[in-house]
Amino acid sequence: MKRLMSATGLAVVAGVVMAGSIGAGTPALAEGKNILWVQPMRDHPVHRLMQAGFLAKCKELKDNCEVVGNPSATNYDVTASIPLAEAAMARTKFDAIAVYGPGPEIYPFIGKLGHEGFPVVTWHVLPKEGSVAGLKAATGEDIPVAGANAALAMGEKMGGKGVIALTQGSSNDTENVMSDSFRKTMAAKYPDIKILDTQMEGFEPSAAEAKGVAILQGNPDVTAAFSTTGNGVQTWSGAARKAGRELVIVGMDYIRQNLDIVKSGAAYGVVAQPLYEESAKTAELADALASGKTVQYLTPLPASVITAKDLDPYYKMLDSAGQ
Amino acid sequence: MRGSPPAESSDAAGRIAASSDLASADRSFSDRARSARERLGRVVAVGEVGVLLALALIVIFFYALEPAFLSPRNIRAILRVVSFIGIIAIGQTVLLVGGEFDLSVGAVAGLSAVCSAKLMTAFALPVGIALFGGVVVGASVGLVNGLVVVKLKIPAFIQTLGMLFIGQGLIQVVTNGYPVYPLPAAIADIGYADFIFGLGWSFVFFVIAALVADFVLRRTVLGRNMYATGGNPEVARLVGIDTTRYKIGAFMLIGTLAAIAGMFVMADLASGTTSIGSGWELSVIAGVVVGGVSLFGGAGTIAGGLSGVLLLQVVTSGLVVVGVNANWQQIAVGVIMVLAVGLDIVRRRYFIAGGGSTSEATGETQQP
Repeated sequence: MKRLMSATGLAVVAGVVMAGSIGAGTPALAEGKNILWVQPMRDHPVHRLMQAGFLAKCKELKDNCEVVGNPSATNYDVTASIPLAEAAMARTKFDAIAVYGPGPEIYPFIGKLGHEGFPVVTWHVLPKEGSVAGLKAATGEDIPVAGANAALAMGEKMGGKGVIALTQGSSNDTENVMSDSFRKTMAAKYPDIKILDTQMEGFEPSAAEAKGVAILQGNPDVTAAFSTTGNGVQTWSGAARKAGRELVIVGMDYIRQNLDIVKSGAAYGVVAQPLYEESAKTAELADALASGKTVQYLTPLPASVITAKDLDPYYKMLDSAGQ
Repeated sequence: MRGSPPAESSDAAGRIAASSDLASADRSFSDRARSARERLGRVVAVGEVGVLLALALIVIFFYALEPAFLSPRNIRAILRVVSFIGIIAIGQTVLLVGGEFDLSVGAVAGLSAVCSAKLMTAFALPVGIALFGGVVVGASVGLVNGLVVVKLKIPAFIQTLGMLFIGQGLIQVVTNGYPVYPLPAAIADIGYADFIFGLGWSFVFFVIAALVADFVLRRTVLGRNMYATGGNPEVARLVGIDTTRYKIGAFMLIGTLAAIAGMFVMADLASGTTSIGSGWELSVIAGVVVGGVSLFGGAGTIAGGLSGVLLLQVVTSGLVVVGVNANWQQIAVGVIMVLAVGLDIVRRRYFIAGGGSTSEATGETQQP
């Protein structure tokens, strides 16, 4: 009986704690539009930066915005994210929905939302107009152009010769296209530069770094590294330090840790994928669509390589986002 | 008067009779009370009651906080995703009852899906043949797992964990990293079918498979032998049960069901994407264990296992519906999981060991 009482007591405490945090994740239904952001692998640092851009713009527009997605930093699970979006939609009548769409697996869900009358916006990829049923607008970088920019920057820095190790976080549409474009541009502009076969570094930092060290140990002629994932700069700067090698390193994304590494000289630069800007633009487009306005379907944004001399504006952006 | 008892003795007899009536009434009342307690004990001692009670309490809790929790949209979304994981959970329950488990289910689901997708696109096979091909992939992986674990005596944890990595690698080999897309229109027809309440083939298959598996485990010799195999393999073998065949069969069953679940997800997403099944192994095992299926074999039911899977999804969705801060949701899921299992353990100790029927005294090696 004592055990039953203590189990009941524990349940009551847990219920109180949960009740206390309820509402903190729900948009306050005051003025402004209700906008939902659906993004698998919700807790990945790069995704968190995107969410910061979105929520900051939402606040500026006085909209009520909510973020849902499977709560993982390493596991991209569309199947688990959809019921969470449905749960939010069961509770709140959203006026527009932003859906992260880097691959075709999310297209049926976008189509379903469109069929139900929700205006849908996507970001980070630019599907051709009409290719995704239900999609009203898309914003983000042109991924092949970003890959090409990285190749040009690295090729110039390397003086047109050397060997590059290339890693991706995982095999997905976005990173695959970036890598392909990088290889093509390098082959065309700097044919004397050799690129090793792509390796998957994963999203877990220590495992990724260990893989980098292994690549360096197995390939003594590697003089540079390019990574298509947000943690790549940390991966390769750490691997280079541990292996005692000097590398020209270019990675993705201007999260604070990456900027600090570039500033310190441990990496050459990052492809400034417009994570914050595209997410803020997503909020703007969703707000406009929610208000019944017509918007341009495609809004491409630039993604050039930034180096140590270009960092200040990005630090300011991160400061303003509380990142 | 002659024949009449004297007044005093009459009173005494009356008092004795009255007290006898009272005692008899008391006995009758306490017999009824004991009988009611025993009946209640038998009900509460049923394996699934703990998790069903937890599920009911959680549903009431979420509904009280936010009635939209029981809206058709939310219920449909929960049942849809439960049907995918639940199909695999049926196989995992059978395998756990038999004394083994499989960590490679997610990878098998993904591998079967992409193989099937490739068969119907790159090889242009008819959809039916391609889907059968996917099932063959899953069953084959299950056979390999079963043979290695049972014949070579490699622990299931190691073999199936290794197969998880192998499966994930094979997915990349088969697809070269790109999703297999677009798929034939028939696949989208399967994925978007609407039979009841907006739910389609995956839900129908899940329900039928659950009923069949539950019947087999509860009511057939096959089921009893599976419990015996997991409960005490040595004794099972000595009484003539071919435990080898049962275990390998269970591994093939879970491989087949994982393949089917993976292909249902492929139909739902209309794409043979490389992330199908990613991370499912933990969701499936967590769900069935919460539902009372023992990790050590010989105990658990299909109903219990699936109730656990449902409970976890209800919690996950419920936390979003009621608006729990995203950073606290994972913590809440963990706490509720522990509480649900704790409630069940208390139920077993208090109602079974303390006052339930003697035939279920242990509460551990329980058969339906």
